[in-house]
Amino acid sequence: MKFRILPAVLFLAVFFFLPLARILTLTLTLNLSVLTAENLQRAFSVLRFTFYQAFLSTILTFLLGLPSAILFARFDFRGKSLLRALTAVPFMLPTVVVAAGFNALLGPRGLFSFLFPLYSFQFTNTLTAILLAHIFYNTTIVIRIVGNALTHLDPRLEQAARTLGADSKHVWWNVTLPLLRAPLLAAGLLVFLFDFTSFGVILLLGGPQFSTLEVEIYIQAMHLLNLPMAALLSLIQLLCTLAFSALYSRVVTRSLVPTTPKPSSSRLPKTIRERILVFGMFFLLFMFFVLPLVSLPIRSLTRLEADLGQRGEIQYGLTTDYYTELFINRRGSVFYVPPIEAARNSLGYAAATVALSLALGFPAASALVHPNRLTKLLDPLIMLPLGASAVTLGLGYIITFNEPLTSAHWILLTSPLIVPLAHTIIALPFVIRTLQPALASIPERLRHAAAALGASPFRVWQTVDWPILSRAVLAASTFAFTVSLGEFGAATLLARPDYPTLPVAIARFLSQPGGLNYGQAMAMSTILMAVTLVGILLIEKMRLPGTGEF
Amino acid sequence: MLTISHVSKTYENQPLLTDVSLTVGAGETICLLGASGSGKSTLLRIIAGLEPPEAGRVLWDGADLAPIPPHVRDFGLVFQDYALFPHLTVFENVAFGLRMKSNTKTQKHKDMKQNKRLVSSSLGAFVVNPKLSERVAEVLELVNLTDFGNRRVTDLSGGEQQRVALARALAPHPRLLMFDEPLGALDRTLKEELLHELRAILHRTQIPAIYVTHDQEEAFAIADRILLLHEGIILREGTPADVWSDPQSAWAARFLGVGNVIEGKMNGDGRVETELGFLRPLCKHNHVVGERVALLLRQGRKGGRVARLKMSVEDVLFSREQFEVRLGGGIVIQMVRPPKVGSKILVTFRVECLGHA
Repeated sequence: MKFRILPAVLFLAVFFFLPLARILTLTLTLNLSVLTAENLQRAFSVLRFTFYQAFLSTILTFLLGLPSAILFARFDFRGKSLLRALTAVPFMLPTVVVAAGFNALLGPRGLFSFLFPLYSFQFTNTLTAILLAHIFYNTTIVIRIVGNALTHLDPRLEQAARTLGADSKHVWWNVTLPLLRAPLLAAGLLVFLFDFTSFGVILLLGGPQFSTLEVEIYIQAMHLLNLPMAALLSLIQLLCTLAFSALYSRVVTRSLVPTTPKPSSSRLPKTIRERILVFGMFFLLFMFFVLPLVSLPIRSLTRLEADLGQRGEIQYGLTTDYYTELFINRRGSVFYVPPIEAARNSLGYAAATVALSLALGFPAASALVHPNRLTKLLDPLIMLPLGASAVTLGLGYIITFNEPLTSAHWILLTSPLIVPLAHTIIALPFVIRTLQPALASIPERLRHAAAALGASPFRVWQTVDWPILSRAVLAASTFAFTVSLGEFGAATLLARPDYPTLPVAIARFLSQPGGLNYGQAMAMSTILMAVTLVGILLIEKMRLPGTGEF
Repeated sequence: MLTISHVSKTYENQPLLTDVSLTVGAGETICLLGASGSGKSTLLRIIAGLEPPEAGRVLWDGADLAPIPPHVRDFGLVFQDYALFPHLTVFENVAFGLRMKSNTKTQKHKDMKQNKRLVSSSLGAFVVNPKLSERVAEVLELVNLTDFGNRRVTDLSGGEQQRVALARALAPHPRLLMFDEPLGALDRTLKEELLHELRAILHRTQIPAIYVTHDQEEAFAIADRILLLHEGIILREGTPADVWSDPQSAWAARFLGVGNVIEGKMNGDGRVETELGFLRPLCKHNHVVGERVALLLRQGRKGGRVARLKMSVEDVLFSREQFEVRLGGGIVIQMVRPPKVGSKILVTFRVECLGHA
């Protein structure tokens, strides 16, 4: 039983730890020449900006997230569950979709500058764009972690403080806030970690002048072909994420929040001031989370400008051209194949990822259900890819499998199979953590009872295990599917130019001039968003209650 | 002096408190005694200002407290599970109220004499006031926790935590102390020990107190006056001795465990027909013929109407100094010498009328 974990471990060893080790050896032993003063200076300035933007993003995320957490924990209002679901949607959306969404709303061709041309401002290629997208992504973390802690905080502690003479301001600063220290710290570290390793948002919204570690690794590896420098940056990146992850798990395990079994009930806003505040927050959150998501489909169906090379009369208004154009193979377009091929590639990659991660994840999860020394040792190893960056992973693959020494390596790198391999590494922790609770929830006695009543082993599995497992398997598959479909970092490095994935194609369209290219990016993003939303919905429906928290 | 005047409150459309009125005099300890769900904790929260009443008023020395928020009422509240601040030490927990008090005071001073006091009050925020630590030491001594100042509250035992909670409530010199089932989570011996200490402290400090509990022994031990709360209504009010000798209702007699309560049908000749036969109680009120009436049978009490009944022994249980003897018809009596199970014995009861059943 316990050795069922081995295929997954072996897979990780070859396709995760080996590439990382190769990055390490490349930086440390083979290429000490990379440690020039110029390179180090570059690395340092990139590192500084990475920290700077992550720090700023985290602060701003809390500025929105903390009031939102209080709003959700303390007040009842109409549309509360809808708003909560809405704020959680971005977390699962592909980065290209979010970047495209903000672009459709605030970008130079966006709806805002069309509707209010006098107030139009530079949005793309600014730090503001990066920060806004990061807030959009991570506010839900603050709402979940801090909001949950706040709901389960024993209300009598605050009441005790009130009767001891503390007004509401003093209660907040002297009691509530100190008690929330651990969840605040945990949320802060997690948000910081995600902002620190953010790639797609910075590449697509920030433009060339903003280089974080992730972006710089990509530029050094793919544009400047300086693999040693990229490896050095990857190493720095790895060390930083490792440190944050360690700090995070320390905070989580040590947190001490006095909780009550009965969560404090939220209430309707009473005073006029409370009503204005609650309504204001609701409006702000609703607009902030809905507008970018809605702009995308709207923009994909409207023609606001001339297409590239189009002269003469321009037709404004609704159009489905951007969608039909996806199926046409045009000379002089970005691709040599109809752009919809990217969708077909992505679907193929996603299907392969689902198959592979289930084949590896199912036995691993069933081994983890019965903990022993071996599985306890291997469990954190299997979860490690959660903290690794996709760009680093992609770079590791390039370094490891790029040597033309053996033909096997070369075949692997040039074959389309390399992308689903990387995606499986990323999806595997999710898949295992989704299957594990379902497998654990099947009581052994039920199997014994069925067997004692005369059921064959297959019948036992069919009648006892499968009804419980099928939901979890579907949820895990959807997880793997959406992760693969939206993954951008590894795919940019690994997908072959003639086999682009959907996100890679969107990024390429976004970077091209012309209204038609832009419109096609919008159309593809809309398709990707729709598929992902369906996936999120499926996962939510299939999830066992009480699992899948951070 | 605290006065509660006609306070009512509902919870999810169910009446929780109905027209409750009471007073607490200077230095007096009253006890609200009732089963869980009788609304006693809610009444405390209304007095503390944590919840508004739906009708009625809470007054202090005749002044309505409705516009006064909880943090300026100067009422101490001790919670059932102590609600100590886990992020603070014992000292800091006890000093919390004192700090808050000095905060609001300097705030008031600032408001009154805007610039004059600014320097001294801003200095005071950083230095631990010697007066403050003196007061903390004083109350810690009062609750027998003299050297506990630097301990973490999470490391303390239940009894010690309860003492810290009491010290924390006492420190800012509240004008009223409220206890919400303060000893509910403790074991029996510790409960009795703390109850005596609490009684001594309340006597010494002369702070008026409201003590809420569902345990009648606790109530009898601590209260100058008991108020029996049943389904949001005060059923009986009086000294422990008064309430015990005359519970006045079947529910009160049963809840307090005064004696055996049986029901019967009023007969024409002033007798009541019960399972145990015809009994003749002395009723304060007139009852109609055929009305259901509750009777209290107290064993071995002299005076009043007496009934001598021959009853069969069904079971005998050892109970500390005596034996608990269960008789036919669900009657329970105490005996020094255990009778034989199955035998018939003659028991003398005093029969009291508890009114309509």
